[in-house]
Parts: sequence; C-alpha cells; structure tokens
Amino acid sequence: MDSIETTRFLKQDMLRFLKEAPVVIPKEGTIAGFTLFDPEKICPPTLPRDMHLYDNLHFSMGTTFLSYGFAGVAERAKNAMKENLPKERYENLCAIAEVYQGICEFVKKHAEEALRLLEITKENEECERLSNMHRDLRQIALGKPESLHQAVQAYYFAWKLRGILNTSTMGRLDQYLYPFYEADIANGTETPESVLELLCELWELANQSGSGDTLMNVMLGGQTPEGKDLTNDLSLLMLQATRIVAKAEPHVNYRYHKGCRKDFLEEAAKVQLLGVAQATMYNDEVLIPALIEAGIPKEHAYNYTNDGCTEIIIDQKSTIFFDKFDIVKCFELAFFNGNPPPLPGKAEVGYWNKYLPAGEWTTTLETGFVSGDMTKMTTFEECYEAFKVQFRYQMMRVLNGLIENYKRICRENVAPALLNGSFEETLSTGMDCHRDGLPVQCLTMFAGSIPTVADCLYAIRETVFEKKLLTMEEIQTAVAANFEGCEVIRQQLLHAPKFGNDIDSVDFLAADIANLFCDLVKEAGKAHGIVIWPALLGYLFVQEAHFTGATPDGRRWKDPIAEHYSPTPGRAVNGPTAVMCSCGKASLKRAFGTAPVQISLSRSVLKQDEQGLTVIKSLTDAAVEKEFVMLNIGIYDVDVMKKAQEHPEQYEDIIVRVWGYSARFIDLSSEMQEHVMARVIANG
Amino acid sequence: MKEALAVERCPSQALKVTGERHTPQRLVEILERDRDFYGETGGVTFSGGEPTDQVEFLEEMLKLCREKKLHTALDTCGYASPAVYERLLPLCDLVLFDIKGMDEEKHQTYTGCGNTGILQNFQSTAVSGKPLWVRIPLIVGLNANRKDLEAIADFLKPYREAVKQITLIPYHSFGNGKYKTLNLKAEYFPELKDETVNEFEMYFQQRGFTVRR
Repeated sequence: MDSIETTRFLKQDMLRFLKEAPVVIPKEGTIAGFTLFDPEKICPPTLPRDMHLYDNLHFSMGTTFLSYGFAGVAERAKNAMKENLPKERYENLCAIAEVYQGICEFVKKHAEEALRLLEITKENEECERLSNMHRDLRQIALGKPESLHQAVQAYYFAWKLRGILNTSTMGRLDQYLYPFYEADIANGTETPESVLELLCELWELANQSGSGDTLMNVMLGGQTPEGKDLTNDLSLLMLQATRIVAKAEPHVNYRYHKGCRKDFLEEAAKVQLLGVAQATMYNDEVLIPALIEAGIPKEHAYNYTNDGCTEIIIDQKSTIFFDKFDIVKCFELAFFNGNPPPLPGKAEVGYWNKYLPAGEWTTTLETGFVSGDMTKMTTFEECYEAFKVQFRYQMMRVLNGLIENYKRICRENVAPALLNGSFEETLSTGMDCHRDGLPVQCLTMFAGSIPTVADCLYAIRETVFEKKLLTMEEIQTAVAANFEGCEVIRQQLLHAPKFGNDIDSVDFLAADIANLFCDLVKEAGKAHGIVIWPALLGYLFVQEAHFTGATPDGRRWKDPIAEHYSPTPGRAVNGPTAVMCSCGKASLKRAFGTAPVQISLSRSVLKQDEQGLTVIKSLTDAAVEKEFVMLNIGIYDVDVMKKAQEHPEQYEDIIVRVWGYSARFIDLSSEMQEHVMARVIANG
Repeated sequence: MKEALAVERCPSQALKVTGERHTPQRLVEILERDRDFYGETGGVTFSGGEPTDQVEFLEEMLKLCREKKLHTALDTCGYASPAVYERLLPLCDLVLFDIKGMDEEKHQTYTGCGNTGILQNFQSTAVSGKPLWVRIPLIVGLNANRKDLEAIADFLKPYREAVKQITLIPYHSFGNGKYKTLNLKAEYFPELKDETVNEFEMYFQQRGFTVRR
C-alpha cells in the first residue's frame, strides 16, 4: 500500500471501530468510556489492530480537541482541505475530518446512553450524577470542553481511542488541563477536593486500562523560557492522587528546577517515600541547556517531557524512534576477538512479565569482526583499545541501521488520523507527524549496560595487569566454561572493584565509555545531517544477560547485568551515596536522550517518617548538584518480595520499578523479579 | 606478615581487614566526596566506640572540617577528662551526649564506671553554648523506669535551652550475635514495648523537652 492507501485503510478501520466500540457509562464516578474489553466479543474483525504498526504510542499526542472540541477539529480539517494541496496531505485532512466526526458520534452515543439511564433512574443522587454526565458528554460531542470535567472526559476519550486496548503516554497533563482547572476554581464550579476526587477516578481508570509497561507516563511541572515556574495546583493535586491511589499507574514524573514550588517538591518527596518508585525526577537544570546545545530550539527545549518510558521528547512537537545497543555482548565479542564461545545452554527468557511466553532472544550485533587477540596483549591499554575498536564497529552498524530505518519510516509510515488531528501543526497543514509534520525529530540511541562493561574491563586490568593474579587465557577459559570448576578465578574477578562503590578507577572507566558512546552517536548523526539523541539506557537487560555468556567481572551466564547507568545488581555494597557518587562522575548531561539513574533502597533503612523524608530530599538535592539528568528512587523490602514469590495472591500491592515504569512485583517474570531483588543496594 | 598475605590472597575475601588507616587530610578528602548529600542540615558525626579516645586525631579532623566548612557533630558518652572537652568543644558545631542515669552505683554496675565525671562534663558542655542532643539508652534494670527518668529530667531541667532534643534509644538485642562470634558471654536484657517507650517520650515532652526518634 502507498501512503494514501494506508491513510484510507486506517481511516476506515477506525470508523468501523467507532461504530462498534463499547459504550460505557460507569455505575459510579463521572468519566465515561471503556477501559478494557474482549475484542473477540465486541467487534471482530473491525478492531483496528494494525493501527499500532503506525504509532508506537511512546510520544504524547496533541490536544487540539481540548481547544476546539472534536467537532471543531473536524471543521478545521475540512477548511484546510484546499484543492491545490498535495494528494497525501489532502487525504490526511480528509481522514482527520471523517475520524473526528466519527468520534463526535461515538461521544454522542455515550450522551444518549447517559440520558437513557437518567430516564429510568429514580434515585436523586444518581439522577444528578447522570444528568451532569449527560450534559458534559453532550457538550463535548457537539462543541469544545467548557469545564475541567469536560476536558478530562474529552482527554480520556481521545487517549483511549488512540490506544484502544493499548495505552500511551499522557504527556504534560497538568499543563493541558490547568486552564480548565483555574477557571473552574475561580467560578466556584470545583474545589481542590472535588478535583482531587476526579483525578483519583482518572488514575483508577488508568490502572484498569493496564499495569506495567503501559507507557502511561505523566510529566508534572516545568518552566517557561522566561523562567516562570509552571508547577501549579493541579500538579500538586496529581501527586496527591498518586499517593492516595497508590497503584502502579500512571507513572508520575516531575521536572525539577531551582524555582520549583517548595510544597510541590515536598509532596514529590512524600510520593517517593511510599517506595513505589514514583515520582521520577527529571532535571531541568541539566536537560534544558543540553538540549539547546544539541541544537533543539529554546522554546522546544523548555517543553521537554519523557515519552512512554524514560526517553526525552518534546511534548506534542515530536515523535520518537529508537534502537538499543547490546554493549555487554559487544564486550564479549571484543574479549573473544569477534568469536565468543557458544552459550552453555538455550537462552529462553520471557519479556518483562510472566504472562508472555518465554522465547529465544538474540543480539543484533555481528559476530566475526576481529578487533584484536587480547591474549597477546601486554598492557591494559591495548585491551581497552581493542574493545573500543569492536565498540566503534558495532555501534556504527547499529547507528546506520537506526538511521536507515528512520528514513524508511519517514517514507512509508503514516500516522492514524486521530493522532495527526491532535497536533496543531499537522491539523493545519495535513502533513504527517511521522514525516516532518512536527518541528522536532527524536531519533534516540540506547547505550546499554555500560557499568557492567566497566566492571569487566576493570577486573581484567586489576587481575591480569596490576596484581598479576591471572592470565588472560585463564580468564577466557574460565569464562567459556561458565566458571565451572573455576570458582577461585571467579571470586578473584568478582572482588575486583565494581562500579557503584565510589571507586574512582572503575567509575571513571565507565564515564569514559559513556563519553565514547556519546561521541560515536554525535559522529554518526553528523555524517547523516541529523541529530541522534544519546541515551545511557538499557532495557532488555534480562534478555541480554541470557544471550551473553559469563563475563570477566565474575558474572555467570544469566546473572544480571546493569540497567541504564546504574550498578550491576548486587555489586553496589557501599550504600546509595556511593552509587550516586559513581554515577555523577560521568558527564551525564551529554546523554540528553536520557541518562536514568535508578536506585533501589532497602525499606529497613528508610522508614516512612520525617527522617526518611529528609533522606529522600537529600538524595534528590545531591542528584541535582551532581548534574543528573534523572533520578528514580525505589524502596523495597526484599524479605517481603521473597514471600510474594511464594504467595503472590497475598502481595498484590507491591510495586517496583522495572526499566522505565512501575509494575506490580507479582506480575514480573521470575527472571525480572530476581533482577529487581538483586538491585537493592547493600548498606556500606 | 603471614596473616597479611593470607588476607591479600584470599580470592573470595573471606579473610578481610575491616577498617582502614587514614591521615586526617585523607579522611577529610573522603568526607568531602559526600558533600552534595549533606545539604543544610547534614554533616560529619564523629562517633565510635568513643571518639574522644583519639583526641589528637579528632582535634585535627575537627579543625580541617571547619576549614572546609563541614558541619561537625561529636557523639560522646562523656567519659573523658574535662580538658579533652575543653579542647574539642570550640571546634565542633553540635554535641550528641549520652546520659544513662543519675544513680552513681547503678551506673558503675552497668557500665563499669561512675557517672560523676560524665555529668560534670555534660554541665560544662551545656553552658558552652553548643547545641546539645541528649541520647538516653533505655535499659531495663538501669534506667527504664519512671523514677530514674524523672531524675534525668530533673538534672536536665536547668539546661533546657541548650538541650535541643532528647532521643530515647530502647535496648535491642541485635548485638547478641556478635558476643557469640567473639566467644563472649552476653548479658540479656528484656526488650521494651513500644507503648512503654511512647509513654516515656510523652513524659519528657510534658517536661518541656523536644523528643525525636
């Protein structure tokens, strides 16, 4: 199909779905619309399953429907359909007009259903509830939202229709809704208490829509280019809703800057102290200058948010495409001069949760590239250089692949009409948000588990070249045997200094690798005339641990590797301040794509009291001083987690951080559970 | 030498030297690495054991911390000569002082020394102008009763302005494993109920003191 055919196909798919989709007026609450439904029962085969081939759901949608209403968007699209437009853009606008008109009809059905229920109800309180719902639904079916309730309802419909049975990021929701909040508070329609109730309802609906890797991120706060604090009362209420609902969704994040409201920062610390790995801090003081330096225009840099995971995007002004790099595998390739030994067994492992079947995972890196025989090298510098040669070769392959893929997407992909209609730019031009329709491109490259590679290199440096305890051949033989029969060697390697313990030698090695990664990303981008956003991120760390064999840091096959720029689980033994000191030695701001630092603290040392709050604030302040891009704090009780493994039904409320989101511990695959438990930092 | 070599060579670090030797200058460098975490209310606490047992080193450390503008706290049991406190108090910003009880005989029985000197050191600390946090370990038999705590409160009363807070530290048996490891005979004391500790905390609050956990 060409792009016009695809646009029409997606449009028809969506229109069919809008006719068949379930109409839900809840028995309690005020927000209408479906959460989940069985697609086989409701509308086979009209469910637009293919829609999400063209929308990775990671970037925030626009909110034109809040400004103009669904009908207003349809009208604008029609008015923009000029005869002299290129065909593709004409078709896009046509699709927007029809789909948004379809959404009006869909909303109208909800209004009619609310009226039907109202007519048969006798109870006064229920009458009032249904009457209000009917009024609000009718308003947004025909016109634009005029109250906070109507804005929330319209947003919910659009967000659910974008994802249907999937979910997507919610972006800077406090900013989208604040004008409505402000007006309703001023005219007495709402109070902070009634708004808090509404937000709790919205948060509960989010949890009913899914849990875990749902991409349901909300970013709170921020500032204008003039430095005006954008943290508002709604931002604060959203944090309070998070504390009250205390479930995994949505994943709440906030933007720190020096002018942030103190009560907001206090509330964020209280949410963090709950231990559910929210709210995640993103640092304006580092990110905004870094984005500007990378060439992102100032007004867009100030409008950054995180996507469905932890990558940086520009809110409503960019999509995002990304690829990962298996850096631990890359090290293995270098260590064995391009030809690592076969794995000890089959590398089958699940994705992140226990519901998806386990499968075999393989690397995208190429075997066979010769970077140098480390057994013949006489200095550590030679070995490190060999790694760099392999690193460069593999990185350039993957980066070129990312760029080629991106160009292909720009040629071939079309976004669904709902999405294109939601952005001001694409609504007015008919361009596609994937193909230059939005002002900023986010093409992001993930580095993978740099700290584990640093651990490996440093173990070689110390045991072979400094203390001369082992030869390279001995290490290669032991590693190839998965350390079977070589426990003494493994212990010697294991006890070489590890990243995350505030030891300069290994920490600065990791920092150097991070720098090298950013250099390679910049070089590749420059060669193609495009900005590639470097991200010190790794998300398939459980999988990579399974398709990479044992490594010279003392790690056996399948043992955990680091996630993002955080220590290899189990290796940080000097407490959280040491972890943060280690991370702070890298120039994290170079990784403006994101540089997640996720620390997992033990509940035994951080209680939910005044002292605990002081510690949280102190860690956050230190992260800002150390120029972190981002900080996520989780607080866990490993003993409780072990009990949860045996009796999951009794521990449904334990929520933990995975790679870029919170999830229920009991939903995780066993491998991911082990990784999370191993991650909890020992106290020095 | 053989022991040192054994520690050096032990691959799994089952044999390990705990503790490191540092010069004051080197130790201050290490302390400064965590400066970002101290904020406005944090700093360096010199504790132990009993830090005043190493008065020369401690004095040097306090001077260096002052030069580096690091807030310092001295955590002491009070059992040192008055001259030691005269040297150290001007150099520290906060004093954490243990008071175990007012009864000289009981103090001797449970700690191996009397409390007269300790209480005198407390008094001079209290009038020195340095903020004081008083820590009272609660041990059944020694002081975990209303009468002994009243006596402590009466003693502290004239120094209420200097005493910024009181912390009651209920006895716990976490250390008993260590006695066994060291082949020492442990003495076992009953643990206190939360309600009892809360009651004692309320008593000190009623006497006009700020109590913190």
